[in-house]
Amino acid sequence: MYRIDRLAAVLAAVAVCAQPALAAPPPPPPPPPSSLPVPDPGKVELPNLSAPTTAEDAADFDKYFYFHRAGTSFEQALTDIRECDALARGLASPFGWQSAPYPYTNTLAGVGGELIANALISAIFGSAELRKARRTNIRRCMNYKGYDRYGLNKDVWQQFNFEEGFSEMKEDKRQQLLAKQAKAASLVAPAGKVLGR
Amino acid sequence: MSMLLAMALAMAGPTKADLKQLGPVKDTPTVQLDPNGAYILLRSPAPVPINLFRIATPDEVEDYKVRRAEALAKAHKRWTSSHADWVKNKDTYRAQGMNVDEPVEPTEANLAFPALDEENLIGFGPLFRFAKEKGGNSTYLQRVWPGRYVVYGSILVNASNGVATGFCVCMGTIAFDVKAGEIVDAGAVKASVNDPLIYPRLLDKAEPGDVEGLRSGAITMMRWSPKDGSMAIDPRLSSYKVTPAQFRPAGPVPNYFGVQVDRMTAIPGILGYDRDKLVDLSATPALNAAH
Repeated sequence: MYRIDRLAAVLAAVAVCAQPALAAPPPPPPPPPSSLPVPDPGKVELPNLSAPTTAEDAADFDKYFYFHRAGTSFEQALTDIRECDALARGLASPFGWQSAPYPYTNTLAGVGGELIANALISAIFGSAELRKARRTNIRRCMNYKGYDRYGLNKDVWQQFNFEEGFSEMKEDKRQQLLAKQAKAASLVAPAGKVLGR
Repeated sequence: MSMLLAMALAMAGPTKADLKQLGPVKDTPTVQLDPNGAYILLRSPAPVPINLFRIATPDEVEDYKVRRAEALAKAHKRWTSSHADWVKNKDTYRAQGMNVDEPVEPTEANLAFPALDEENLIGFGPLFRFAKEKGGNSTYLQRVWPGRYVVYGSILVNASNGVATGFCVCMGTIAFDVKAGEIVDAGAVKASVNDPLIYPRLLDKAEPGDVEGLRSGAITMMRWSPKDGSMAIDPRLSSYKVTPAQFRPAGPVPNYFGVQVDRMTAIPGILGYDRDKLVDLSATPALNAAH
């Protein structure tokens, strides 16, 4: 009996951990980009984007990059980046609840296996897939808006970009980083070669 | 029911009983359609899901506003209770090292409530084909509520867990009207959940004429071809009125389901793009489809 109780407690804990990833309620809509304040670009700081990159960096340019479009104002770039961010946040996990196969469905062992397996699948693959989906949506959106893409070293990239898996970036921090990306996209002369979309 | 009565009822939106009449027409040797019904005919070289939503009528919008306001009032009542509880216990939480966020007050702007477009979303395929050719097109024929339909994307929702996969054409799409007493021939659609941005090897398998377009993004994950002479109409529909869809640009629309975001490939004479701005190549103005 003790073992069953303890197992039930462990499974319940796993279920609670898995819950946000697996059955999250619909997130509230993001604020409309047009309603947000525009910061002074002179006060928005950026790392050195023209630092040289290595062949190892280039292998990861699919992940670490920034956008730039010539002749674009900071305000316009910020509007564009906020619009693309709105289309790329709150994405659905591609991994929903996976049921235990017959004949284990609805058995204690089956339910336990489901809980553990789903928590692991969700934690290991789901977040990575969400981060990838966000990158893809942003890249498509900014490409359609006419921005080119330039590769960066990961350390430089991390200073003004963010990834989003299961946990959402806080709104004030998100807006600070989007403003930096807008400055890179508009006011800084691009370095390196143009990558594909 | 007379045609005028059918059109008047369409303005009010469907009742639950009406909704039961809607859905795919089955592939049977003979076909009996409701002469006052509205139908969409669509072809696809592969069995894929295709989603459209009907733009709500003014009556539906009013009804939606009432339901949303009720949901907001309920959410606010729950928040009042949970916030009071948080205020009462926040010092205890802090003392115990627990990081409990202050409950966010629900407002008109942040309320999590499905959009009206989501309620009016319909799906074609991949199952329930009206006709299928071996190695050729799948044809879908679906009875719908009369109105203006916006092509939304290709999305599958897993009924058991509610997870959506696929993509929307949120950044540019098309719309067309469907009237009572008509089968509207929407032409053919080619949808793929992959593009070279996600899966570069797609270029190796692409038809030679598509490679550059796929690489540049000019060819997107959804290609739509309006009805032309090469698209036959099933002989079982010969006694019914079939009208080619009149398309016009529409969008952008929100990413309601948190899926991949794309746009419809440009369609000569209908839809073009200037960067991300829709260019109306048809005779009628673009529709702002989002609510």
